[in-house]
Amino acid sequence: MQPASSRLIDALRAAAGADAVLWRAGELFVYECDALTHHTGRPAAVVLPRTADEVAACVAACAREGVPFVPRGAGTGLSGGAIAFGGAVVIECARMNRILEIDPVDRVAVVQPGVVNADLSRAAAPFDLHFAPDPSSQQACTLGGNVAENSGGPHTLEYGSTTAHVLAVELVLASGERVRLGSRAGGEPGYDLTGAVVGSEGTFGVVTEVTVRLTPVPEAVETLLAIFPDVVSACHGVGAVIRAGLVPAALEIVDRRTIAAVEASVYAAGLPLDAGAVLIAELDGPAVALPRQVERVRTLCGANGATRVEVARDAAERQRFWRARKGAFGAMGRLAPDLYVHDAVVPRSKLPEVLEAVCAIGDRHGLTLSNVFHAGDGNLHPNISFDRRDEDELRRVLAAGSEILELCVRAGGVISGEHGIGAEKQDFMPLLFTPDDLDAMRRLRAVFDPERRSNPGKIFPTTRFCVESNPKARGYERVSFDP
Amino acid sequence: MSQGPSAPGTLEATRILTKSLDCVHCGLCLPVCPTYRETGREMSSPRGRVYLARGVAEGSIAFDDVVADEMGLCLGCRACETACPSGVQFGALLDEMRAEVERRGLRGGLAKRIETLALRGIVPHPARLRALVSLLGLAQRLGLDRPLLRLAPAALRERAALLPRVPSKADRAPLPALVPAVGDKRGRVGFFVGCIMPELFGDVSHATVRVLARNGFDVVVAPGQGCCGALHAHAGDSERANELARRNVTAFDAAGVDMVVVDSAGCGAALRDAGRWLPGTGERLAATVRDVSELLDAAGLRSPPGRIDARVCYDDPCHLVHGQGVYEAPRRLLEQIVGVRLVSHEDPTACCGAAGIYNLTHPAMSSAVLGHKMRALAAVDPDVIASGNPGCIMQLRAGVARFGLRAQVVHPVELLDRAYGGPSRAPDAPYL
Amino acid sequence: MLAPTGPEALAEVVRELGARGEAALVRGAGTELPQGNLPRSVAAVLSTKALTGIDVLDADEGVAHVAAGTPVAALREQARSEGLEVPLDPPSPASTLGGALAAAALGPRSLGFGRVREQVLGLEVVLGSGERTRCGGRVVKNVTGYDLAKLYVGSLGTLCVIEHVWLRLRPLPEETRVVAARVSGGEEAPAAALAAARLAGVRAAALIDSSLTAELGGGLPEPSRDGHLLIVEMASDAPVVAQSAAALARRHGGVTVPAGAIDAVAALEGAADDARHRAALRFRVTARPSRLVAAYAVLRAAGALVVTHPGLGLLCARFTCAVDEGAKHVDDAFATAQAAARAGEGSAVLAAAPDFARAGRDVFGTPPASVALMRRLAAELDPKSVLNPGVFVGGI
Repeated sequence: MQPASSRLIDALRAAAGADAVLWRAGELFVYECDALTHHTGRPAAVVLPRTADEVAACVAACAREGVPFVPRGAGTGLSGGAIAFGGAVVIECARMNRILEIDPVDRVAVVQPGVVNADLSRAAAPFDLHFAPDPSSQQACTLGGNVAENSGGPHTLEYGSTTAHVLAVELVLASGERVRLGSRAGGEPGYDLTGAVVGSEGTFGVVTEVTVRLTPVPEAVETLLAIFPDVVSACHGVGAVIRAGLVPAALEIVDRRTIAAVEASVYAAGLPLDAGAVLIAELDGPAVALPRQVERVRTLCGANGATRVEVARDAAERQRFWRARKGAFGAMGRLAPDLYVHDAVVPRSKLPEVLEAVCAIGDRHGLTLSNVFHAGDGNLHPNISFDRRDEDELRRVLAAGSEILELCVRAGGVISGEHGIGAEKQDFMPLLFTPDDLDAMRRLRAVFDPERRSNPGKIFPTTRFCVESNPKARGYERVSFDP
Repeated sequence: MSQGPSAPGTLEATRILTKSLDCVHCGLCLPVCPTYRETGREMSSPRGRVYLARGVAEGSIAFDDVVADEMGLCLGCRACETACPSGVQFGALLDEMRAEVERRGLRGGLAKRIETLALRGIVPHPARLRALVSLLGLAQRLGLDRPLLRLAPAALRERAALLPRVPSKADRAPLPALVPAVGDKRGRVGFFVGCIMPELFGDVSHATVRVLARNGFDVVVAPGQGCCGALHAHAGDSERANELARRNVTAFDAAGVDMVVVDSAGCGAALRDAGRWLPGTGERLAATVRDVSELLDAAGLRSPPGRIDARVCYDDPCHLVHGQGVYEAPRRLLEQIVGVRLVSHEDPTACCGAAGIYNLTHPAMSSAVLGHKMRALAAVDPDVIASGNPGCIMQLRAGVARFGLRAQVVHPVELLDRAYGGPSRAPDAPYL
Repeated sequence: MLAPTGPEALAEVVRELGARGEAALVRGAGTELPQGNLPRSVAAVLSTKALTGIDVLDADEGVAHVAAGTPVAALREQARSEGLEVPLDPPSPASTLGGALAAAALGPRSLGFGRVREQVLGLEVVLGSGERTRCGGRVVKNVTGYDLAKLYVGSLGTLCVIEHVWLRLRPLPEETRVVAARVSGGEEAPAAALAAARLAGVRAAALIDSSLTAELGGGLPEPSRDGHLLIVEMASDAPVVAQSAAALARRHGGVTVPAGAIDAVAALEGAADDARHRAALRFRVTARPSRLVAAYAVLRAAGALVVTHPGLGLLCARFTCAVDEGAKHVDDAFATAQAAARAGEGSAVLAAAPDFARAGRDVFGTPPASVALMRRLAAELDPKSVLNPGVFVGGI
């Protein structure tokens, strides 16, 4: 950490007000990480603007001082995207939490970036609408963060990730200039810059307003809970459902170790502790369509070895099923001081073999590893419980992590499905991309932020990491995903 | 790096560290935290406070004003515990941290002086409390309270607005040592009286005892019991909290009761925590503690004959819903009163800003938090707001006055008592 | 005409053009050519027609890896044999996959399929600067690196030449049914059509002005005089289709018509029929759903023939003019389209028109303020303007 110059602090105070600037050591300490705890970086200062004008003024102040900045929402990100490197100023958007407009005819909402994901859906509920992306942190994470990371969630399977729901953004560029991209009516002529901003992990500037599409709340929902003897048969069940042409809203698998953790937590859902894996299948849509679909899913699960299939009788039971899934992350936290939630995607048909290999990697490194994942779109989340104070364990965690990523890439997958690259996986990018591929990305970044002052040190490979976790240093070859 | 009682490696630091390690930094607690919602600052969130605790315990940061102020700014509502998926015992961690703040002498100013006076000088001394309340009651009856207050400094005036009307002499009369069950007897319970309740909410205490008796419970008012020590524990005065817990354990041990019933959520949560101070005896007491709503709901409420036509909004006391996990019971009880229509507002489980004597020590934040609550309540515009904790009732009454709501603020047992006919129509017991 | 037969040869051609300081017009099947501005001087036509082939069609995953010169119709045929649908609706069956992506044109079925950008999982491209690069991948969920594909899709070939595509496929619906109904005239018709478009299982919904219905061919009900014809395609589970068809019958007296009716609507707007309507000026006007009625009113008042896609917030407006009426008529039509776009709070593009009508103007109208960023992007990826120079927004 570099101590902030008093000139910078004064400039930020002038930009956003004295009560909006944090600079004392203890205040900055708590911003040293987000929900990825084993990478840290202490900011030079934190500023909490309330308006886009204030954001622009803060960014302009940073530009004048030549200081980098990092946009931050609720700090629930799992790839370290909100960590401040290089003495950056954190621009915290928590106070920009107003829903500016909900238009039920256009099915559109205009929000400030600090609006909490679940709050938007709650506000849209009276119009029978909701914001479809539902990351597990949806009660806390912000729309600005969702845009930065292109967040997904269980229901991405049917509704798509955040990018499919963003129509327009307002962005403050690193120069302090404000630009509006996209349009509420859609189809604005020109390159889809909005599409490029979504998922750019805060490296293009600070998003100060988002126009999102709202999705009708489905007329009916059916949630099934299928108990399988093991995770492999559960994966086969998922494959069968997809192959049959069904498009469930979500298909989620929770493995045995996760079940144990969840059942010991406040999210206990009454799952059988001896189950090898649990599949949560959610079907939604017109009421007339669901009974047949429920029966087909039930049959296909049974044919693939499910020992029991339950259908939620009411909303309370549906919530109970989902508690098992959505509480998994925190519940795993009971097992050790730290939790590393991995994120990778493989072709769905490769799930059984990849999962087996993932567990073997965890065992080989003597780690507590469990799996909970979006099986419908092949999105794995191996969770490793550990204690970052144990240096040897941390080394093993990172080694296992890199092996898992390599494995997934070999299987035709990618290294992040919804958490982003951030500070976590930047040195694994060469597993997937050639220098030319990465250069194309750098050129795109230069369009928005030629001086690389917005969220520096993310996405692109560095040599910052220790040798063990750097694939290039370990001599990995780039793995091809060409057929 | 200042050395002191919680320097890394000491027993205190290890206790703090152990509790802080349960946090995986997921952030699910942020949106339910009143001070985070108000400020947007990480260090004013549960996750931030846990991180500060871990920081000082590990020696990564100094135990300075930033840490002390944040521990003070927390309302202690424990909404974060309900939201936390990994079971962080935030309330206990907060008490530990506040004790450290005290040991290090990091608090001063008006807030500290008010707190010391209240917690050391008044609350643990029934006679002083009683005398003070009598004085206040007299002033209110003579209409002197307002003119007198005009002479007081602004900071005091604001705080004085929270003072409730002192109940009548009859309502402040001591409870009988035993009130026998009406009808078939379903158990013998001890009633926890508390310190503030009998003085400022004596009417509620009497109502609770009547309702319990009408539901078939012998109610024993064990002698020797006293303040629960909650305010002291939360203020970091673990020594006095320990002493008060010991007094109550002794009193209820001697009473020979199945359960200890509490009608003040804050006291109930503190008694349920007695094991922290007194392993063994304290845990035994804690296991018998029930909120009055919880006991009646579990036993099955005997249908009250009366009728109350009102739209009632139940507002959860933090220390009942988050501290004791009681959510459904009071709602189910109120629904059984003929004529009551239960309505819900936007955020019933959020803190009202009372938080013990927080409204006295941090009036600005308390007032901001109350503002959120009152706007949510105003949107529903109920006839009655029911909440089972004296601090919350006082705060909500002040809020109703300030925001111009028409609702009456009562304890849920008062509604039950009224539906049973209250004290006046007493068919078969002298006390009733 | 340059028609490289492989990706490396394609890259070689682009590099060669760059080295010579020359530019090329990139084309697939040529079905999208009247789109965009007239190009600045080009030395050659660079065709992707020799880059064909479906390398992967993975029915378990619902993904395909396809060379850009492959006709969409060929991919569709093979996908259907596996029970899958290609969720693209280009204006002509002859369109190549690369062309359909580069133009990102919406068709009537885009309502059900979703935008073109949502269907693209990964792209391999040759940048204007000559490098072969890729973005995205074969999996259906991916946030690894910047989403460059979003920029390439709809770029009218100005940033790169698309070489291969990882495309998302969807299960074929159990039942498809097309219903047509007479909707009484008046400006409120688009609002009624919007409600119809939002029924469950609707994949396409178009409201067609009575004077255009003759071009749709037979088998359709006669529209009431000065009224409209509403054509709705449903594609979903059988019970859903039945339910929505019943709703249409109840509300508008809708009747089932031959399945080709929606294709006929697409053909109405297609550029492929340019020979018959040489002097047709076709505008695409977008509007917020709540402003459809207002935008529609502006177009109708000026005598445009309109096909409204209410679910897409899209109005396809046709003005006809004789060549000798010249630029004045085009200016008027453009002004009308732009007024409609303002009323709809959307945008207006002259999507297809003869060269004389496109000459000397930006068919995209006044560029948005973000055009400066767009120019920077083009300068980064195609610094020498080798590919389709001048055809895009603001003359990029």
